[in-house]
Amino acid sequence: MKSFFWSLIFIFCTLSMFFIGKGVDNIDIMAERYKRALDAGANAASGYRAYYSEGMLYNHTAGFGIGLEDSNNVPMEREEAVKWFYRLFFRNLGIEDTDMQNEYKRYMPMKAIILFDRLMIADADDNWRTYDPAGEKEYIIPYRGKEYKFTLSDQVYDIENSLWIRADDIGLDTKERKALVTKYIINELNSFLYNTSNKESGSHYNIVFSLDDASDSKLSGINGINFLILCEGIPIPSLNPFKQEKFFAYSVGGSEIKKK
Amino acid sequence: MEKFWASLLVIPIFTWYSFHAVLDRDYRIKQQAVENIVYQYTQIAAKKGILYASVYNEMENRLARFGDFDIIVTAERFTGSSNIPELIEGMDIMGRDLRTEGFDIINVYAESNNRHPLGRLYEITPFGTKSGAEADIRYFGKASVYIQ
Repeated sequence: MKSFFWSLIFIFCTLSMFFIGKGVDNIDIMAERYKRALDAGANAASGYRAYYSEGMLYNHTAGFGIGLEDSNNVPMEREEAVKWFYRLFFRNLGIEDTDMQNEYKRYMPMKAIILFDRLMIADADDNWRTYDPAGEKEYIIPYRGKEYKFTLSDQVYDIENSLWIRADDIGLDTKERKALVTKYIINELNSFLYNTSNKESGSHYNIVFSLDDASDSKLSGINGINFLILCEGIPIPSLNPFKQEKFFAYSVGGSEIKKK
Repeated sequence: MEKFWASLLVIPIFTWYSFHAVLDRDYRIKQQAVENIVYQYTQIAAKKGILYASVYNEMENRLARFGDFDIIVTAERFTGSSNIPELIEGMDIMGRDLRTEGFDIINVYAESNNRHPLGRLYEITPFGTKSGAEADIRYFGKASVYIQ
């Protein structure tokens, strides 16, 4: 009877290990699939042809340059970018059904466009106004007691004097300026993600960029206009009979938007 | 006698589980490799704007390590504001300058012609009877990349 009892214990342990391991295994494959789909989607969002057509250009103030005159500035049609992102994302995952696509969209809590002089963030419903009622926020950052409107280049707008100046004029070198703007963007992205109403899971995410990517080879800094997306993915239920858990195979994708 | 019955219960389950562990690992590693190969070569074709025969053949050769594959290649072109793209598929795509012709997306789908033994394992119970499950498990890879 004792042997029989131990054999049952063995079977129970084996099956438990089998089911617990199954859920965790699925995470690996899904995370990699999401990563590829996000990269392909972000790549399309940042490269679609409309960026180069005159028809969609609008006056996009960028300090010394106006619109496309400034080499760092690229006009952006955000709805179109997101549309292209979804096209490629869902093709890579092989999801054609609209209901299924909508289900997946619920688990993409953040689509961000880091522009030359402003930041745009959309929530899972592709609503840009959750982040800010204006649908975008300029990089208005206080420095030495005064507020300036920063850009991704060394152009800075002195709000008090309504004047475009260079970062050098207020005693900021390139490294300090980049760190200041990068920190601002990181904080904005993370505070958006920290708000649980913007995401389905209770997970806490922390997006990090390098403040000085010349010395930090592991992380990339913000060196241009970027389309960035965070995907939690449909939760994978754990088969662990002892715990009701859900796993999220989250992944981040991003791509730099460049002029032709 | 009691030990005999106990081992009769344990050994088949242990054997089934061992087979599963090995086959499952094998499937996962090779499946990821297949997906990566398909994605990698689709990216190359998208970046070049042309699916060269040499690129296709190299992909085919690398996939051949995992068995015999059916490969479907399609390209999509979106025109105007329509969400329904114009589609071309088949070997016609090979060597065509897709970028110049205005195509936006290249898709590659590869699926193995052979079933993986993991599927057969799911179809039997540890005691050799049919489980009733139908598991057609094959390696496959799907990639769609924007033609820049």
